[in-house]
Amino acid sequence: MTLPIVAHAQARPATVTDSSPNTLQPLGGDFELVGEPASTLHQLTFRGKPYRPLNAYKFAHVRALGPTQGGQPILLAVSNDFMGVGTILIAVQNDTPLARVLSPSVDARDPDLGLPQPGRQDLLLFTAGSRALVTSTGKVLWFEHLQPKERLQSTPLLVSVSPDNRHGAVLLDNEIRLSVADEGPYASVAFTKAMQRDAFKSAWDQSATRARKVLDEGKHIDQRRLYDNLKAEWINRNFRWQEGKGGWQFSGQGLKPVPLPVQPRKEQ
Amino acid sequence: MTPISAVSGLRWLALSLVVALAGCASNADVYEKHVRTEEANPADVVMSLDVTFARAPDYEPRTLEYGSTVKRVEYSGYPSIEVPFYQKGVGFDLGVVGDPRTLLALPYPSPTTRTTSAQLKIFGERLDATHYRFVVLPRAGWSSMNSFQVSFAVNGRREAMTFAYSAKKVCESRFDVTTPTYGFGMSVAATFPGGKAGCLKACDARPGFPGQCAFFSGIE
Repeated sequence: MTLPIVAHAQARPATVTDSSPNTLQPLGGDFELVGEPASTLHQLTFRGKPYRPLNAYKFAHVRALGPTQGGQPILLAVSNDFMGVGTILIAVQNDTPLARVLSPSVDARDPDLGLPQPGRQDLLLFTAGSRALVTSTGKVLWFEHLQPKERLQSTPLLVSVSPDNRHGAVLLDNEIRLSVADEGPYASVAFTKAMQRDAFKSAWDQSATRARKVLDEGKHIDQRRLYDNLKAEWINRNFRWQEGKGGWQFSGQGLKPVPLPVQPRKEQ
Repeated sequence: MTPISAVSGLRWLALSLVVALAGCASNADVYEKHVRTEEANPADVVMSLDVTFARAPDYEPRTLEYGSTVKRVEYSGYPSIEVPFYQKGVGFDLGVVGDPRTLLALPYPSPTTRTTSAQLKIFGERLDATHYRFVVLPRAGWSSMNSFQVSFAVNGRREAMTFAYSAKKVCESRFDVTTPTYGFGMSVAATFPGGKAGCLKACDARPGFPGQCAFFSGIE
């Protein structure tokens, strides 16, 4: 793990390292990016003080999304591996910058910058964390796939968000669950394991080919995430959202969602 | 008269020795102590916090008892606040003068400062399904970091929001905040003893160090 870094440090010419002053790069509002020009890693400051969102110290990627909150820009940031927390969203609440986790994957070489949902201009899917980001507003959506008290072994994968940004489709091992943002699942599509195996065969091959190609070029990508994102793309091509009398439905491949038994949450 | 006083003198000596030795070995203070808001002495309260959760947190209170002679009670299953504390003490590192292979080495103790930490977990008072009241308490012999986290769960999804406070500064201590992991909404309001003004601010957590702010809190 440390070897390539050492090799890199030796290869770098000695002139750039010490004398270069820290550059400041405004991000809008009171945020600034601080770092050496030669380095790919930068630190964040807010009103001139160092800001360490969720204790992450250095960032491989920081960009202002466009919308503002509390007069300050909303930032999308990727922290590096050391003390990193993956991809986060930074927004100011009551004059305090606070971070929210978007993607749990910590990988500075191939950061998870979200998958733009096919057919949508302003929606990024963070498949692994069951979260989505509406880039035009900076709103983070989280979709619960479990029913109260339910235990499931399968790893959820957010594959699609409805046009009203309130409903999401979460791919599980043996089904697709439809869930209301922040509330929980309400329907299930019987997209079984066997169907998934056939449907995602080409996605697997495609991800393997691309990973091998990138590896031959001496770089690295997260093939697991690429495969997951290709699965999400496949589902968006083959399923679609429709608003019916029973709320938003997600159907395709001849499959119709079946409502889940809704257990009203006990408010003791 | 005299023999009795001699015996009692010996007894006093033994007793004081026991006390002195007990002083050396008094580090049996548990790392995490559990308290309930209802049991708190109002005179000790540093700050009290009223929280309205947007979604009702899980409420399945349980009580666990440990220990046979000294009883220790722990609670779980409902919202609590975790308050971190630290203690700076003098410890000794063992230094060595000379070469240990020649058996002429002289070990010597060299003093260093050590920081130890402890926590207080204060369970909230449930006013109704979404309203809870918490108190921040001091821990005897420990220094406060002036921060804490509110920990709760919604449908088994555990979440925590970290806050920093100060009784010396004044700011708006009533606001809405969104939690970092699942984006649960909560409205908080802090009140300081004697109705005095203070300052409460939300801050980013330090993963692995519950209740501590990540470097920047805006209040010193």
